[in-house]
Amino acid sequence: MRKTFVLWVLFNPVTRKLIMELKIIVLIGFFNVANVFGTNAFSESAKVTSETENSASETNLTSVSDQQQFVVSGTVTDASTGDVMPGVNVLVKGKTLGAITDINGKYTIAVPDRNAVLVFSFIGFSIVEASVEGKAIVDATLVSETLALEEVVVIGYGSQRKVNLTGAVSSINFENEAIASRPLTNVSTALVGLSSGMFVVQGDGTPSADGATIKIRGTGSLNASQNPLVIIDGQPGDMNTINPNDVASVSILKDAASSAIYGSRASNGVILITTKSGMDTNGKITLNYTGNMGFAKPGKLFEVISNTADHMTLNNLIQSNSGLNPLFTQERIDEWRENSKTDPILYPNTNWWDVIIKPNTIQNHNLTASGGNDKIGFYSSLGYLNNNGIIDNTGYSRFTFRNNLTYKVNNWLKLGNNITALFGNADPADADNIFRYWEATSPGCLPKHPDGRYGGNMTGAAEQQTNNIVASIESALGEKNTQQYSGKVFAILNPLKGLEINGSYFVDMYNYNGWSSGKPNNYWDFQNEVIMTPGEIGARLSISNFYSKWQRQVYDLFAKYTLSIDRHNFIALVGYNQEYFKANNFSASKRDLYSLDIPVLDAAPNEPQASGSANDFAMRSYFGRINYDFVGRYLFEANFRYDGSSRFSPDNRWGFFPSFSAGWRVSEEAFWSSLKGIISYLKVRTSWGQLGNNGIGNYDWQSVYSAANHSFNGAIVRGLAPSAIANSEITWETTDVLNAGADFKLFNKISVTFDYYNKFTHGILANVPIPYVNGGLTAPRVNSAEVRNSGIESDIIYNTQVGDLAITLSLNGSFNKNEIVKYKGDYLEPHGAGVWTEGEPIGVFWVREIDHIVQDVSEINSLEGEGWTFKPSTPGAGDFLYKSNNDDKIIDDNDRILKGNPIPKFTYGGTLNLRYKGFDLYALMNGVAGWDKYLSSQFFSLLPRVDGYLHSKDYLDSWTPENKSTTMPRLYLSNPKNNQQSDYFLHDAGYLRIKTLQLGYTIPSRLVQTAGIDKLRAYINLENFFTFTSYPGMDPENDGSYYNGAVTYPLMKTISFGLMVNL
Amino acid sequence: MKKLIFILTILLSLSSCNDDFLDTKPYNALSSLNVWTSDGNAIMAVNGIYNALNRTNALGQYYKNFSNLGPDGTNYNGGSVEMGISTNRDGLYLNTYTSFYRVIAYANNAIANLPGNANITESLATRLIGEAKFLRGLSYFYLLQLYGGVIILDKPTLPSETYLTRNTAAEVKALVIADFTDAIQKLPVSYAGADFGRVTQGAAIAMLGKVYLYDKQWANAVGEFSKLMTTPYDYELHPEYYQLFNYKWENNKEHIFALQQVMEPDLGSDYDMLYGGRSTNTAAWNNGCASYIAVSNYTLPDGSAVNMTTIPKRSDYATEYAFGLDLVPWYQTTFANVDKRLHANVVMPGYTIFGNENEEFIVNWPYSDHMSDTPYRAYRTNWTSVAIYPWRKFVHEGEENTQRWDSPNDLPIIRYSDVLLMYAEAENEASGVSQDVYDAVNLVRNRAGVDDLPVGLTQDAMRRSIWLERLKEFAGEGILFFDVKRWGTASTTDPVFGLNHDVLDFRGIKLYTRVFAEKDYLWPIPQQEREINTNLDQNPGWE
Repeated sequence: MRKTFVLWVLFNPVTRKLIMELKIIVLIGFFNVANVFGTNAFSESAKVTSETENSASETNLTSVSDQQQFVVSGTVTDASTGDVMPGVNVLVKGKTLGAITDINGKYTIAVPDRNAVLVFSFIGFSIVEASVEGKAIVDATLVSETLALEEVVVIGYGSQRKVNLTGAVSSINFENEAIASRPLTNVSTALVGLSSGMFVVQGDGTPSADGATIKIRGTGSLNASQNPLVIIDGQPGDMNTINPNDVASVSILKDAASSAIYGSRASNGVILITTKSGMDTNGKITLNYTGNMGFAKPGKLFEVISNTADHMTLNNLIQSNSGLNPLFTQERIDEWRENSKTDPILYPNTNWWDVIIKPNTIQNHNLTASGGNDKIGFYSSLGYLNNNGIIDNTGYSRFTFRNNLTYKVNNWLKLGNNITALFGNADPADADNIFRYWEATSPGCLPKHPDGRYGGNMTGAAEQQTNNIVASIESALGEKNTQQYSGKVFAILNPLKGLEINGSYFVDMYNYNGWSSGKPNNYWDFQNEVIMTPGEIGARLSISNFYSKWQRQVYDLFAKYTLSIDRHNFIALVGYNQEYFKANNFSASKRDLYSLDIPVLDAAPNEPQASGSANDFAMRSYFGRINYDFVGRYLFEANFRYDGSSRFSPDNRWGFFPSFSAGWRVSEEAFWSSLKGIISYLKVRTSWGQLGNNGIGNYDWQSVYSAANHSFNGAIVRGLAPSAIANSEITWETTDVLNAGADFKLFNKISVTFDYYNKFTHGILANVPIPYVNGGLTAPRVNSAEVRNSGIESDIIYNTQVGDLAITLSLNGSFNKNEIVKYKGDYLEPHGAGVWTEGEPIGVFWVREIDHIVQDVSEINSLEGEGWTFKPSTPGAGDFLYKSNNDDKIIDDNDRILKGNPIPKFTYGGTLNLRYKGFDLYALMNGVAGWDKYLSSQFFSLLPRVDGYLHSKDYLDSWTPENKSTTMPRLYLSNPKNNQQSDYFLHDAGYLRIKTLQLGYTIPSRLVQTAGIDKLRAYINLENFFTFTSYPGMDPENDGSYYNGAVTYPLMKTISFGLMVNL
Repeated sequence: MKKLIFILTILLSLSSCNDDFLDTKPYNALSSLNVWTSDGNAIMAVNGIYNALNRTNALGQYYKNFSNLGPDGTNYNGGSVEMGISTNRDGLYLNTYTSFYRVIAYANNAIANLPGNANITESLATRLIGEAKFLRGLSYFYLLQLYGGVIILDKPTLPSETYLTRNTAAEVKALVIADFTDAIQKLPVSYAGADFGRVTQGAAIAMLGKVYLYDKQWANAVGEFSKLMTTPYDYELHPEYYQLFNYKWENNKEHIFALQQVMEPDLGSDYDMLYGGRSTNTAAWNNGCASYIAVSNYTLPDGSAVNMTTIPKRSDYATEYAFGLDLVPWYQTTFANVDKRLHANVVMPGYTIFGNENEEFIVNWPYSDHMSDTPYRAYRTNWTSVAIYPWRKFVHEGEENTQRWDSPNDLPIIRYSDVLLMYAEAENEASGVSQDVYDAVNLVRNRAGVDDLPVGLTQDAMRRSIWLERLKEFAGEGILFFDVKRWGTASTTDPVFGLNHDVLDFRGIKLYTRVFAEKDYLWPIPQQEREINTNLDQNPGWE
């Protein structure tokens, strides 16, 4: 642990406060570990064993002493590299005897009898069993886990061998050096491309908020949550608050069979995250360092006009198109064009992308220690992430700490605890604000004079709105701190053979707090040497503090009973769960702060303001599962969950969610033996079940009056008003899931999983739109709508070895069809540019179609002569002529048609892993096809503002009498001729991305062993580097919170270099 | 045995959970069941109706929205409604419609739950019903003016029962008259202390008179307005016009009903932002400005017109700067002695305003050339490419207001001067020119320091005089838009009261052409609403 501390100090000069907190955490971790090893774990293990022996007569533990011994030795090698493998666990099956391979991969073990079976295990490799059969030397070859079918998969409240699964579960092994070496900032983005049935979109690259949105098997709700339930080590949580490096595996539960045990919150799928734990390594402790240093630059952007003369000319064009006077004289434009060549200070041509977006660094360091013996296992980690972002003052740094500990008290009781802490610190500049104001500026504004002064509007009086984003980024002051602590204590009892009882208490506490203020600035017109926007003189500094917290408490108690009678195997599970969540927030502000050096409320005397609120929810659940199989060939499983939620009225609160599934391992049948050479393994399976969704507001069923104050006679009076019309009858949304699938292996090289699903969600809470005469009050929700998602998906893994080259290729693809089955008949309910209507996917676009751009007004005159009319106005030369899609002679909104795919139809991903001697190459790609987005922000709207707003470079190609061969019509200021909802704004958002490309080299162990190092690997990683798309906006994943997908923090491309060291 | 005890302990500890574990309640709201159960709660619920009326798209931005559309003001940037190119989906149409119906929905809750409610003191219940009826009547009055016949909801209605067809304009008018009439019965003449600012009997009479006037029931209008000129009502013109729009003189005897504002978050008016400029201490936006038409119709105290023909012409100058050097002093001189309401309403070129950092700013041209002038720096507006007339009305001076969007200046909805001029108008229409007509108009003129109207005016000349008086008196108060519609002049090319003309800035430069077609007398029923309720007809010309 001293090494931990030294390394961490080396890597981490952040704020002093954080260092203090972390010192404490490191100390706690140190004591924890010291305790474990110092007191009883290793030195006294034998004693503990013998003590418990007497009271453990009914257990299967066996003592060493009463058996005759036989010594076996051997060497363990890696199947793909042929290297010897140190540190491999060698256990005698059914006994607690163990050994570990030495640096040369050799082990020696005393076994109780000549027919013993040895079990070889190593992280990331499948377990191998070998019978001694009297031999003195037993060598073993381990195969990397991805090759194995004998994988154990984490499922709800337990685990299952993959061969015995009857549900649709994708499992991603995170104990993989390629994943550990990516410069990942959160778990959600780490999942991109790794599983079928999963659509992962990272909408925002803000360093402190760069988590991805995940959809599993389409979109199954309209107004309630569409996000999967995330379970971390058994309890609900946010996957973006854990260190990706701490994750051992992720299971994606996709069908009802696998997820019904999570009942009412499982209809959008369940993601189970299991963190690393201490393995029994016979006392050997592995200290691992994985770290990388990366350089980030922005992903896809779009071009804006940075030539000020062009910008002014375009503004004049827009004005004159709109029947308004030009804003700039030609002399002024010419003056700028000429002088900007020689004087970039007084006549700037500012590219605001280049000004605010800068290459920056990202670093990730993880130090972990893990190990254990038959009594105790621990995993401790310390992680540090520093992502400076690609915009100044928007960075984020984070420390994470985890200690997972389990220990056996005696032969029937195992206890443990998981403790985590997270300290996050985000820079004060608010990315949302940056991009809200980013577009409201002019290329004629100089960001910053060499003497340090900020520029203001210089182009002339017209561009009043001009903002200086650099000034606002640099002047943001404050702290945004996150602290999260979670702890779980658990007990596992084995009172009887086959019976295991689990109990746990979990608490998760999250705090977000800080302060904000801003430095006022003067913005200068350097041409006239005058202050355009005075900010500094007489400025009133304000200070605000904010504090929000939430807390979640979960109790779990469940029992599992395993019974095998003859060739019949039964497992029964029954459990109880309850959860309480409460959130509070509070904020306060004052004005006239004395000095920015003392940013506390007490240092500001005036205008105190405060606000606060709270909300909570509670759940109580009962659940169970029965598994039955006959010789592992015929598999049956049933699950249920009975959930009660505070989000519904007492009469509608409880829901029952069952599932049933069956599997048949066809390849185990005698008749299959002749086919085994081709298809070595085949299982078919099917499942049906019901899942629920209660992802709505905490009090939506209750009709309430909330604050609506007013004032009389100069004083505030309290007022109340309802803002929503409630429906107390609302209850769960229910999803029926039918799944049919097969798993098989071809030629012992290609593993294939194939699934068909049909998810039918009914009782969807629809915000039945009500007439506006109800005062715009939020409409009552009714469990009325129905949505179907159906599709197929497949995962294929191919392994082969060619000489020294080991190849693993995995591919996955998913096709999903989304359809609103029942909503409001043919009624097209507008939602942005899309509509909700029956028989179409959610949000299908409702647009006019562009026929062509009118080149000569005579065309329109003759159409009018034929009796055609146009709404809202008649096009002139340079305007769109929209298509007529109905029988009337009026071109208007009734000519809109349904078009486009708002929800991706096809998503795919894949990895390629090559190993050659010490070299490894890893590539991860993902993509989406059949996805359209509607893009109509300032830069794409065809209705650009001119009072100090940037323009897309594409606007230079708009229609003018001199530029007729273009696809872009005339631009107007506020004339809605060309920005009617039309397919002009609809774009294919499909893309293919090489998400990760990684090359690593492991230095041969003999070269580093002398330095006491077990393993040393160096690598280079390219993240998000290659994207292929025709989408005209930013990256198609960027969603943009403002103005219909405008601008948002760009996703980053990162090149990083790193090391992985095992001691 | 040890094991079993241990397990049982755990199980017992879990089974001790409370039965009401799942009964959570909102922390920041009151259940609807508890609202109409006490005097205090009922008052709060009625206060909530005022809150809704004060919202942005009900009366909160009333002045700006309707002044920009009327002859008195303008949005210098044009705008789809002003330029006659709006569609039936325009946000203004939908938001205004929805916001007034919100007031109606809240008022209906009160009107349905208060009568005969044993939990609430009867006299209080009566007054609260009166307030709710007034506020409902007011909302339907505006809906009627803007959209014509609209759906009448006069009691709490399930959303499923609101898919109705439009009521006729006559039916809506009848409801408005009934609501105001009933409010007159139920409301007190005045309130003491803390309740000052609630609607009164006088407010209901004034509004009822206004309804009759708009409906050309001249005699009925005269009847209502004349009630307000005698006891028990003690309305009178406030001595200083400019003080009417400043919180320091709020609750004066001229404000018959004003939306009360305080400088607190979400409880103040938007007008420091909407009418103020960049140099006022809220760094505001000039979303509404005075029009060339309004400015040029103010007269000298003797009633003679300002000679606008001598205004310097841009074409006579080589540069904008040189032009400004003559133009601004021309305004200073020409408007020096004009009707003081002009200077209370508008910051004229060459005139100063006490603004940001307690500094005087002057409206100058081009402003960028006068940024560092002494003693007065140029007043910066939000529309500096054009030479606007910024409003002074409702805008704070100096550093008085520190809440950008929450100015404490009350927003008068009906003033006594409005009653006087409406009385004069109704009387003139009903019985022709009389001394009563002269007296009412002259009261308003004299308060502004303007001489009496010349004697011997014909009925037509008197009508025009009253119209012009309204323009000068109510500029920027959102009233003229409704006047030019009811007078039928909006769609004409009348140089003052027609809305088909070029919009000019103070240089006399055309900014855009304003258009008001025949169809614009009624706004469209918002298309978004018609898509939900297909039973709704559209107004002519808006299909």
